[in-house]
Amino acid sequence: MKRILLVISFAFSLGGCATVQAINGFSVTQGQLDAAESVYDGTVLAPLHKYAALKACTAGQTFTPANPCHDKVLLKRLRAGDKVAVKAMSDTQAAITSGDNTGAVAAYNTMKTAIDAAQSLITISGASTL
Amino acid sequence: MDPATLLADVQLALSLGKMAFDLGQEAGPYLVNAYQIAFGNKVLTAAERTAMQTQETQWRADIDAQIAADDASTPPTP
Repeated sequence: MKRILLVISFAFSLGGCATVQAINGFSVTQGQLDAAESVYDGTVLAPLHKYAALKACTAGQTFTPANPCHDKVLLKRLRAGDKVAVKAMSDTQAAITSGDNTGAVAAYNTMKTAIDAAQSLITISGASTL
Repeated sequence: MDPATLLADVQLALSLGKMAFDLGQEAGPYLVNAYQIAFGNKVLTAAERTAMQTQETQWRADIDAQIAADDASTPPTP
């Protein structure tokens, strides 16, 4: 009996999270998504595009300002990170369009994490100094 | 500092400046957009959003083409 009560109270607390978010007006708007996507394009995708256009580094060579080149393995990792961010943006857009605020908040948080990870990788690559 | 070293440093600074300028040309409009949306109450029109997504698709296609070219040029590991 005690266990059942615990499960029920847990379920109510989970539902309560969404309710509290709605009461507080915590939602993701189309503007927030557009701003995040614009920042992503400017700070990740544009540098990544420039980085990919550099000649490929030869074995043992690394990116330097004097000899800019792209690391083939790192480029693949960056693109893989980009795919995660794209998926999260697409999920956020779908949730906003369908009016699923709870889903939009969750997808938006996932998207922010993906963008942070991609920005870290861009910094490592040196592409942000291009 | 001898003139040759000085000239090499100037050339490096100029090439870095050009790269930064080129990147700024590509990234700048998006950062301005983000600022205006966040602080200037700008709302993207459907056409602007479509243009942004078209550009994203083009950049990703270029990156994927480069990855494919890298794969083609890398000798298979024995």
